[in-house]
Amino acid sequence: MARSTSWAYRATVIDIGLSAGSVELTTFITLGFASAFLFPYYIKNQVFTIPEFLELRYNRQARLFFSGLMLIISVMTKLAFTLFAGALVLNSLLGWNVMTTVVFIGFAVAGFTMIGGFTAVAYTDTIQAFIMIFGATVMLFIGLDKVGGWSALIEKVPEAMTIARPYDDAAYPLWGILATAFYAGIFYWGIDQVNVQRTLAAKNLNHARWGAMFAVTLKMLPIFIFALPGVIAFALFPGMEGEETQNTFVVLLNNLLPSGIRGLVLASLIAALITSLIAVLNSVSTLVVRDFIIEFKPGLSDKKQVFTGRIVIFIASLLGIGAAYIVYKNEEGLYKYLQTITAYLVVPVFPAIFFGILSKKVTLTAAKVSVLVGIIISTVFVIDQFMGPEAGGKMFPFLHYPLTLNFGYRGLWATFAITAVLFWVSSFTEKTHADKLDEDNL
Amino acid sequence: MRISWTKTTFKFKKGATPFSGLTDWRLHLAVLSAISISLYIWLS
Repeated sequence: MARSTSWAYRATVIDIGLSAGSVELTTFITLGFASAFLFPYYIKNQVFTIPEFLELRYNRQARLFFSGLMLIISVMTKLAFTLFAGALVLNSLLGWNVMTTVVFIGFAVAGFTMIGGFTAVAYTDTIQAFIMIFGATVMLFIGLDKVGGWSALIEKVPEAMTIARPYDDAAYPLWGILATAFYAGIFYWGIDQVNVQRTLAAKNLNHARWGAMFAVTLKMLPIFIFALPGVIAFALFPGMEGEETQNTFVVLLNNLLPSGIRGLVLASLIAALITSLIAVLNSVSTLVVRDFIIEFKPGLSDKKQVFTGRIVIFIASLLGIGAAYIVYKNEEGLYKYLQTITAYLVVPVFPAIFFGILSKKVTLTAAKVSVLVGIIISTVFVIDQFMGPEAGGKMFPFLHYPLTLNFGYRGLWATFAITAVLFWVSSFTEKTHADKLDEDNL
Repeated sequence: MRISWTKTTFKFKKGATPFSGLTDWRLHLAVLSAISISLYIWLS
């Protein structure tokens, strides 16, 4: 649930307080949409992967394109993020150089994954989640006690104790974060293969929806057990700045938790990071072999598929290490990096997938055009981000108003524009054949 | 694996399925939404 985000919170919360966790509370919107509109399709159509669904709705190219995009998202966000977060912890514990540790973890986990053992990972994950929640809860209560309670915390760091930063805040405006729920959030919870895979494994639609509601319940915890301890650290150890803020988690562990629980939580977190990496590498390998290798070499034997999958894992690890370097150089906080990159990558494809499910009117040509327009818009966003506030402001002044500066607002406006293009082009292009379109109720 | 039958769009006119009591996921969602919004208000 929150194994990889927990690390990032500490680095971000220290700067911007509880608002770093505000996105977690939008899960009732995202999983509500997904449970109502998306999960029924996946379950009733017996689809195994989202790319397979796209092949049904559009064509083979749509499937391949989406698979490719998911690979980029996996490497640029999940792999990079988890590698870097793990390295930060080892850096603060053992003093190892961050990038050296990234390379070490990358190759070590690639080795584990190539050898196998994914079933064990699934079971271990479940146990780790409960240990983490327990340890983080204990840390929260001890921390609150040390700081003098809730009221004392508000008195000491009032600016960090609000979830609602103003609409024109550049980093985490509440309305901008809420906006992300309606495109990036629905994509993450309802379309991203890593999460949807769990839904597809449900016994039936009711089980899938109950599971989603349980996830909404769990998602109320991070703001208290991961974000709030970061604020407590800010109150207890006010001198932290720069790289020190990235080690907040270990500082909290060392200072707040008794030794037994400390070791248990730390071990579970490091193991969770490794299993997260294995899970991503496995899904990358599956996507590449299933959607690309077999596509072009249909007669490939099982043995050769496994061997190819292992090579893919190794290459993906190398790319993940490269992407982790970008995270290393990003100064705005890990969690914001994750959210920004994800938002910019999903914006181009979200309308074509979401409205492809909801509406018969959407055509294949319109879907292609909308994705193309989306890529252009996202490219502008990324160029602006790389140029920085000054140069970017001169080149793209329209992106530097209060309601266009934050990635949350940008993604929302882009989604509106791309959706408009999608339906406009659909109005005059060839309709999808009736055989492909059936109907269903909510 | 190829899928032999497909349903790829919604017919909204059919409406929602009947409410099935305490086990209905929509009831759970309503309660969880109320709690989430309350948390937003409390922490603002």
